[in-house]
Amino acid sequence: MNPEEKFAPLRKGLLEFAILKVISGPAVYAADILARLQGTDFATQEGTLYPLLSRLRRDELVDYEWQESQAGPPRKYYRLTDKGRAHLDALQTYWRGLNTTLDSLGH
Amino acid sequence: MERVVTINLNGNAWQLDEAAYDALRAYLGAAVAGLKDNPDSAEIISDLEQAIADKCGVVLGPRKSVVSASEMQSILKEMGPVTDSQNFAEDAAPQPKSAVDVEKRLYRLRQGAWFAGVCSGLGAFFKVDPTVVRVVFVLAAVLTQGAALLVYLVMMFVVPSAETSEEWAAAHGLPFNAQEIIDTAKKRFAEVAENQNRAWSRSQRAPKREAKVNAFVSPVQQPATGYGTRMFAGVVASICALVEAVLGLATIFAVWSLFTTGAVLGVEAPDAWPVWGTVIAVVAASIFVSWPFRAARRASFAALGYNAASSEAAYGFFSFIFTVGGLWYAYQYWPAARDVLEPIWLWIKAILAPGGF
Repeated sequence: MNPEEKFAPLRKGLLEFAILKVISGPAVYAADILARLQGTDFATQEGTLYPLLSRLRRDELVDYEWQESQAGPPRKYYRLTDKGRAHLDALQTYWRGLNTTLDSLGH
Repeated sequence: MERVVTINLNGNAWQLDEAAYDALRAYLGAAVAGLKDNPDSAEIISDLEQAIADKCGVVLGPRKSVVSASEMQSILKEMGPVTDSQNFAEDAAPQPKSAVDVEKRLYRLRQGAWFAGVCSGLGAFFKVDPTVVRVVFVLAAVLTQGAALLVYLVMMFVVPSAETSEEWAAAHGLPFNAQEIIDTAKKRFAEVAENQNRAWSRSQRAPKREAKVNAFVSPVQQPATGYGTRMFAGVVASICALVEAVLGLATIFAVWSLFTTGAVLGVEAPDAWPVWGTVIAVVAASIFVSWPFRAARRASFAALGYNAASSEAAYGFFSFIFTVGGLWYAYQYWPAARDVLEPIWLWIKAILAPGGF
């Protein structure tokens, strides 16, 4: 097993984190998110992203607004809600805590 | 020559060749099935359609207006399988999510059907060639003096027809897996294409016949109601249709007997009533009594996904068969009915005969 496959569950679990991180910047639409993750360990596809975005919106962590685009139909631009920002902050703090713990476990 | 299918993806019209269309339909069918417990399913599907539409736009240009099967394959590969994030946390371990096991079920298959697809469905269910089933049915119909035809009629109403890719797979007892469906669709497409080639060379010889190349189809089927519900609706619809037809026949009989004998089954109309008044009362009573059955039948047809026009057509057909069958049966075995029907039959014959007027 190469590391790619071995750590797939880990990456899958962290995908939501990564997506929240991408959305925390200026408002983005789905293709931006995919492009941003492309080439990273969190590269993903529409088939996975859309259901995930819809769940994040249902959990009121993100919200979108329609914006006209120069080419084609209007797009959904996503941004974090206040709740989403708080959630991301908590997640980041927790993640750093985990890192510290893991670092301190081995000598 | 290849058939081109025009589809509506989230409000945009696109042209796909038929194999591309089958692949897309299978993908969206799998997406709908995968998201069936998701409350935002419709919105996600429309987002997915939009993304596919955007990708189609990239492969098409001013000189290219049709998306090919291989292009569609790579677009769908780019999209990736639709995974419901609902159970993201629980199933962190990677597992093949595409194969959803479906129970093998009896459906009517309209594809390749001669009539209502009952035999095709039975063939798929028992894994035999539908032609064999048809032959058996015809033999059974002859041996049972037509009772098997009644069985066919009942099944036509009670057995739901396979509308989605998922149901199509269930009808064949195949695991519902998008790739498998695509493969089967391709195989079927190859057969269809071959037949069409033959048909095409025939049509070349035939004088000026217009080939229908564009079919407007919606790629996403409405999420079908459950098998049980549709079966129940089929039973209710056919029972109601039967009751309505019986009531209709009884009304005709009552009116006939009022005019000829002034009584219905020995019960005379009140003396004070004129015959026409009694007839109106009988007809009104019949309409009143059959009204709830008609309402139930319409509701059942609506639950089966038929629109008003085709459900009326189906009902008309069913009641026609029933009426003709009923009259024929009465004529054969019921002397009283025979006495009533004989003059009508002679009268029709006299009119139809040359110089009858």
